[in-house]
Amino acid sequence: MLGVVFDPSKPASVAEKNAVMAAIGGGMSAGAVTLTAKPVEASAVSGVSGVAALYVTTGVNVGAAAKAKKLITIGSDVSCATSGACVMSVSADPKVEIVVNRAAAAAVGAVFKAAFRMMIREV
Amino acid sequence: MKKTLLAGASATFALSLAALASTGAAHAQSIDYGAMQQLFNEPVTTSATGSPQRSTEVPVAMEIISADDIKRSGAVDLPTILSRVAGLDVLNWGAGASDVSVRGYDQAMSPRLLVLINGRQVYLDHYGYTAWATLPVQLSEIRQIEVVKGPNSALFGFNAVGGVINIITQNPKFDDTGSVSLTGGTNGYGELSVVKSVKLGERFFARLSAGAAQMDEYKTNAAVASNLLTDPARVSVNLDTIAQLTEKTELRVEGSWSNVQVSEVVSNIDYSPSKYVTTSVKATLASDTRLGLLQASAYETNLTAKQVVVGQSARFENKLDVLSVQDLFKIGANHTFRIGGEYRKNQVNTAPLVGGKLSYEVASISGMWNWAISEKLAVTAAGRYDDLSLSREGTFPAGYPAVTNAYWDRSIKKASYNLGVVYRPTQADTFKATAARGVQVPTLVDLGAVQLRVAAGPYTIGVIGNPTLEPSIVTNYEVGYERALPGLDAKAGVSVFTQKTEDVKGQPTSAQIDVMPTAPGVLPLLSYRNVGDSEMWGVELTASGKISGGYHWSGNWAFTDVDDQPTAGFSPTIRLTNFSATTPEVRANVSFGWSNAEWSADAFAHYTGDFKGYTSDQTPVLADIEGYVTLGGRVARTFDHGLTLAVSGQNLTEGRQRQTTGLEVERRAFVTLSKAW
Repeated sequence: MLGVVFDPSKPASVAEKNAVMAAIGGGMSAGAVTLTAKPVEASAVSGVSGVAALYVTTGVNVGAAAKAKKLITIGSDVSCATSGACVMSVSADPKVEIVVNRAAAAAVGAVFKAAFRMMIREV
Repeated sequence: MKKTLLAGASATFALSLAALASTGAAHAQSIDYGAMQQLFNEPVTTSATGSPQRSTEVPVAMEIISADDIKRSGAVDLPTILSRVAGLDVLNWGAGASDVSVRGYDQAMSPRLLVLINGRQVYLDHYGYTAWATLPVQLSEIRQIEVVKGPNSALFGFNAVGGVINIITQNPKFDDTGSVSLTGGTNGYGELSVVKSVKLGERFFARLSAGAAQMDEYKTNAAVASNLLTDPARVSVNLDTIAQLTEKTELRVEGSWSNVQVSEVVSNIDYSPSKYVTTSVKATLASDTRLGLLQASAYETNLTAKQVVVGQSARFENKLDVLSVQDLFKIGANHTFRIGGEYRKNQVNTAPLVGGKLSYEVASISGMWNWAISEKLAVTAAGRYDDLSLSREGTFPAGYPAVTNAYWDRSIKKASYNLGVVYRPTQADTFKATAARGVQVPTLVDLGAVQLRVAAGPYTIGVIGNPTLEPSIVTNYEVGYERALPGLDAKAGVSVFTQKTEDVKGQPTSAQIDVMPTAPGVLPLLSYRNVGDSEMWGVELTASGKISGGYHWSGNWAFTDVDDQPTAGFSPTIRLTNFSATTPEVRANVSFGWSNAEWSADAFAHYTGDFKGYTSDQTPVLADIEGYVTLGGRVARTFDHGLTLAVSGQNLTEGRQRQTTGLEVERRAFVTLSKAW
């Protein structure tokens, strides 16, 4: 289960949340894993349960709360990862770019497979 | 919105990978090519540096042919598929035999292209070439074909000088696959192919494939004696298993067998009705440890090759054993390293005159360092050092000079390297600059596996290998630029390269005696010699894209200019090394295709410019081969329950077309019924 973190006061964040929820729909297969998603308000991250990771919409920072919960955070904005607010950022236009913040990853205990680390940018 | 949706989807895939790693779940040491391609929206490969990399970021010139490309090619063999790659040359000698090279220097028994399946060598060391029909792989089980252009000896060792082709099959652990296909066609073509993967519990995975094909050989002509031809046929079986020993350690065992007969052209430009039996077993232990990705592998291949050499039957038994270890690890955020060691032993008997046995052992060390200096700039340096020890045992034929086996006690110590810089100033632009040095070691036949007596007019001449041959050293420099054109859903690229080959190996020829008789009763001898250098430069243009409505297109054009520099006293034509004449200056491809949920249609046009080929007389003579255009295509309809019916054709422009100095290539058409589950 993926938690999609959004700020209801920010229309762009809400729109991105809606887009991601629609993209995942009832479940998305990725290799042997099928992911589902649920929306999570930014203010509710400290109490969230039942999610394996958080997708953080642009402009939202839940780094501290996610670290406390030991949850991997993923954003679509590179600065989210480079600043340490997210463990990982993924952008896809025009080319898929994945950035992992090593300190943020260590803080939540995330260990990425070696082959994956060799194909992404770490900061 | 599109950007957000794509990002969301990608994040999902990234999450799945991240989750697997963070929980320490199984499979962490393997590379799931399919999932990685899905994640990065492009193929990934390990054939550039040994490290997994995205295809757009490798520090070598590389093209990757996808499984979908193979399916839609309509081809029934690998050389046809490879002929559509920019800069590749293919000499089609018969219905089942071709020689392939990268950027010129193609020849009978093309030795400069190293070919592997999942990293296991299928290049045949006795003569130093690839007999494509012997490859124990079904087209439908190939995930991708990785084509490296230019030397990559720093990773793969000897003979990766013109290029490397690494065929990556589906992984039984990650790819749940099953298919059966039946093909019939003109020229008596018939083929059956079966592939099935199985999963036994959570820790054992296997894929079994088998196939058989037969066809009529092209019609003989004045250039080829019919007794040197045979109708091509092949049977092969392959088993690929993975056992998940622990959460982070797996054992992969691959075994294969193939039995082939084919009309081919051997290195002295004579046809041979050859028969091959190959067997191979490989075991690879891989583990994702705190010290990095550790891998140890061992394999043995056995080849029985029955060939006709200068009208005489030769039976070669070639055994290759390889042991290798490597560690791949990352230090900090920006430095990836690979260190490796390898030992190989290669042995073969002498033929057609038996009594001798030739062998060599090679000990190698290699390393690679990739430094991501910034998000836009990365440099890679790789090097390898090989130490070959040659030896011979057994007797010598009557009439040979008074040499002893000690004459073969010789070592070859050579270093190779690959250097690359990749600069991506924007996400759409990629610049590459590379320098590489590769080593083409003399083949076992060159070094002495062939020994025979042959009549030349009223005289008898002997042929003997030359253990003092120097390896050919190929040095290549290249710059390339690729531009993504997202507005057009396309990309385009250009490469300029220059290459020098030192100590080119020349063939023995009765037109030039190499060892004069030293005593009464001793035969004059022909042998292999280093006959000079050769230089080449070229330009390659590529472009491909998609158009809304299910259309896709591609085009490529490659120019090469070869300049041979023979050593005084050697004729490049007589020694079969006149590459400036036998390499076409231009080769090009255009393809166009369309598909929807049920139908697909693809068309391919290929052009090879004028070049020359050797006639098969005892004294080689060059003959003109006019430039030619070939057309191929495939139309397929997919039905329910995974059924597909396809009609395809190759060489459609003419009923018979002269592409070499040998048999004329014939138009062929195929109908294939396949079922996937």
